[in-house]
Parts: sequence; structure tokens; C-alpha cells
Amino acid sequence: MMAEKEKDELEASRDASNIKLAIFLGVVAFGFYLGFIWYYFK
Amino acid sequence: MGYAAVHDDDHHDHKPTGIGRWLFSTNHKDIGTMYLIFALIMFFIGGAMAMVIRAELFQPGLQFVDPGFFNQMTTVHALIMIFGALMPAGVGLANWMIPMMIGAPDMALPRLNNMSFWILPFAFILLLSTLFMEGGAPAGGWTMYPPLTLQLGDAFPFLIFTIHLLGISSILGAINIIATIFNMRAPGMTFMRLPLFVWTWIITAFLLIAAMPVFAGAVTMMLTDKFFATSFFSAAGGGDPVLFQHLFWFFGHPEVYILILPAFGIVSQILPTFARKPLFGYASMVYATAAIAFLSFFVWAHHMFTVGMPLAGELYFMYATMAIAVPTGVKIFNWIATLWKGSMTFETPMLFALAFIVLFTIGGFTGLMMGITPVDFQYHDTYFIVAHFHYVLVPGAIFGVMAGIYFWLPKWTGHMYNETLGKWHFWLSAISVNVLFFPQHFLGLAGMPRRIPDYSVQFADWNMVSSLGGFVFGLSQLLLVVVVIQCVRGGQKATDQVWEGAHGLEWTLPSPPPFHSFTTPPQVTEATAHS
Repeated sequence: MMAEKEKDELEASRDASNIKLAIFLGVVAFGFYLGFIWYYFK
Repeated sequence: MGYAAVHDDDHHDHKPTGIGRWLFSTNHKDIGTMYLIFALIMFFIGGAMAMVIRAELFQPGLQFVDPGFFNQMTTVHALIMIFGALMPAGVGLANWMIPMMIGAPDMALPRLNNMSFWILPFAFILLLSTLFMEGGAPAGGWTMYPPLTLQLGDAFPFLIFTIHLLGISSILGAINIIATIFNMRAPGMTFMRLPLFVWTWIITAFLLIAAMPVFAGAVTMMLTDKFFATSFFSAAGGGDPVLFQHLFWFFGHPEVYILILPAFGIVSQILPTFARKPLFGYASMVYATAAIAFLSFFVWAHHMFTVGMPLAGELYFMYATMAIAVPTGVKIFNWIATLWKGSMTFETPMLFALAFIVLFTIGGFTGLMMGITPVDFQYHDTYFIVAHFHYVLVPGAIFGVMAGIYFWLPKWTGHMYNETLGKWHFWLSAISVNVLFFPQHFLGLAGMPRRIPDYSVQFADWNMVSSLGGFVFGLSQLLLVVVVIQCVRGGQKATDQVWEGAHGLEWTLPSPPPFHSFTTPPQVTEATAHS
């Protein structure tokens, strides 16, 4: 059984990683979108 | 037994009540349920459109609808079934099962999860509203090729906005799934211990992030062609209409795998359970799935052989398409090897999974036939193509989803479903789906073109047979609704493990699982990881 402190630490580290990963993937997806349009527009 | 009994405190299991529970939900189980109900509603709306199509094609000549409305039906049927029924059904199953399979308390980004779902109803209200507009709904085919689609009436901007909303919803959903699997796995749940369903969803989510923006970009370019005087796809302005086809199919081919890979994952969970044997070749299944997904980005122009390409291009796309048969074959043979000498029983999920293997393989083989360039010149835009992709998507992807629903329904509701009705649903579906789609191979080989409301009399007999199969298939789906409603309302109590041969974290939770499960992560070992 995980101690309460250990559980809180795990949750905090997960939250930070989740947000970082989501922003990274969001930028990649939006970059693809704009990149394709820009490639054919220029 | 059950980790939940050990780890979940009762005071954590309070549920919000009323409409707010659903509108503002951040719970993966509730959001999964909403996705599945939404997909079911869309399945019946898209199915009703298919019934209109088959009724019109029951006999030669125009019977019920004018040709313009017929084209609207074929177009909107496809858009609804692909984006409204199959994709949300897959995401619904992912929402319900992935956190429980990896020992996570919920999805990584629960509020984003809520937003991903609630975009969908608005997107489809926009799309369906076009049926009541002057000029009607989109009628240029789901592929939306310009210049035909640019000739749409008021429906055009609605179509484009719908696609953008669906793209945003899918990408946010994919980001959430990746973040969940990468960051929320329980200690000890290494990547090579993940259940196959989870693996297929990692790969599907990456496909979505790579393919969807290209589609969104292509329709944005079409929007600016229509309203802002650009000429991306207009030959008169120096553009190229064929460019749209390339961009569309660069998205469109991976999209096929976005629809089918989760079904592969479901079948890979079900076969070991009912054969009571571990999945044969787990690692090779993972690598084969990844290989299929990777190759899907390099074969798009096999959809465009007849548009005119250099010979080298046609040869390249032909051989690249053939190459996909290799990892697909690995998966099919691994499934068969899993069954080999297993102690099999044939409950409804197993029946749907077995039918999936046989019938999806038929669709796969006709795909190989069409991958041969000179042969495709004969088949292109005929009913052979319609038969091929319906075999892949109906007894393929939809049977996979059905198998998953029957497999996990006792876990979700806490009750066993009515096995007799489930078997009736399976046998009626399995027989009628073949009566519906198999004759379309003959029609296509005989030269009947697709997307037409009328046809020459020599095609009459097989069209009538196909329509009869369609009506039986459509009606038999009502049995699923009866089974689900009965199961939600009551029935024999399901055990935690539900199925004798089931292994994995999700089966250690009570049936139904508590509103918040795995609030304290379980410790996963090789023995508890997967079957």
C-alpha cells in the first residue's frame, strides 16, 4: 500500500508531466496544420 | 479480491447527480458512456440513411428519392458513420477501459476529456442542419473533392466547420490518451506489459495527431478558395484540384487504420479470454500494429491510380500497398495461433471476434486486389470498392466494437447480458451482412458504378438481394439496444472477473467498478499484467 505522501508526490509529478506532454503534442498538431497550409501558400 | 476493495475508500465514491453529472463530467467512465451512447445514436441515424440508399437501389429506376437527395444520403451516411459512429465508439471504449487497464484513477486531462466529447454533438447538429438548408446537405461524396464540393450551396461552410470541430475533438482526445498511457500507468506496468487494446490506442492516437491536421489544413485551403479568392485547388487560378486528392488521402488512408486498429486491440483481448490461452506473439503483435500504422502514411495514392500518375509512382504505391499485407498477416496468423488447441467457448463476444477475423480478412484480400494498379483501373468507382470497404468497416471495425461492447458490458453494468438475445443479434448480423455486401462484389465486377440512384436492368437481381440483406442487418441492430437496456436495468449479477479466462487489472475491480477506481495505484507484476 502506497503511503499518503508518496501518493501526493506521484500525483503532482503526473500533473506536471501531463500538462507538458499535452502542450507539446498540441503544438506539434497545430504546427502540422499551419505548416501544410504555409507550404502550399508561399 | 480486487484492488478496489483494498484501495478505494467509500467516501471517494460520491457521484454528482442530475444533468450536471453529465454536462460537467470529468469522470472517464461517465464520459466513456456518453461517447458510446452518442455513437449508438449516430449509428442509427447513419443506418437510417443507408436504408434510404438500399430502398432506392432495391429496383432499377427512381423509386423514392430524387438523385440529388440520394447523393446527400451517400455523403452524409459516410461522414456520420466514420466520424460520428465508429470514431466516437472507439474513443468511448478507450475512455472506459484504458484507465482501468493501466491502473490509473482517470484520464490524464479530465477537463479536456469533457471538452473533446461535448464538441461532437454540436459538430453533428451543424452537419445535420444542412439537410434542411436550401441546396440540401453536402452531396459531393465524403472525400469532398473540389471542384464538385465547391459547388455546394449554403452547406459548404457548415461542412468545413464541422470537419474542423471533429478534428479538434479527435486531436484533443488523442493527446489525452497519449498523456494517460505515458504518464498514468501504475508502478510496474511497463510498456511491454500493456494490454494489446492499450497498445493499439497509443498507435491510433499518434495516427490521429499526424493525419488530422493535414485534413484540417486541406479543408481550410478549400474554404479560402471559396471565400477568400485563393486558388489552391483551382486550375483556372494556377492551382491543382488533384493536390486536394493527395492531401485528402494522406489523411484518408491512415484514417482507415484509425478506425480498425482499436478493433484489432479488442479482438486481441477477447480471443485469449475465450480460448483460455495467452495471446500468441504479444511482441510481434505490437510491432506489427506499429508497422501497419507507419506504412499507412506511404500508400495514399493507391486511392488515386486512375487520376493519372507517372508509371514509377503507380509502381511504388502498388508495392508499398502490398507491403502492408505482411504485418497484417502477422496479426491474423497470431490470432489463429492463439486459438490453436485452446479450450474455446463461444459466447457472443467470441462469436463477433471470430467473425471479425474471417470477414475482415475478406475485406483485406479485396484490398490487395485493388492495390494492383492495372486491376484497380477496372474496379475503380465500381461497387467492388463499396463491397471492399464495407467488409473492412462493418464486419471489420463495427463487429470489433460490438465484440467489445458484449465483452465489457457485464463489467460496466454489473449484470450479465441476455446471452440468447446476444447470439440472435450475432447470427442475424453475421448472415445479413454477407447477404448485404457480398453480392456487391459481383455488381462491381460486372461494371455497376458507385454513387448512382439508378442502374441498368442487368444489375437488378443482386441489388435486390443486397437491399434485403441491408434491411435485415438494419433491423437486427435493434436487438443490441434491447440487450443493452436489459443489461443496464438488471439481470444475473456479474462477478468481478466476469469471464473465466479474463486476465488484467480491469477484471480485478468490482463489477460495476466504483465511480473512482485505482485512486491508489496498484503494484503490477508480470503475473497480474495481462493474459
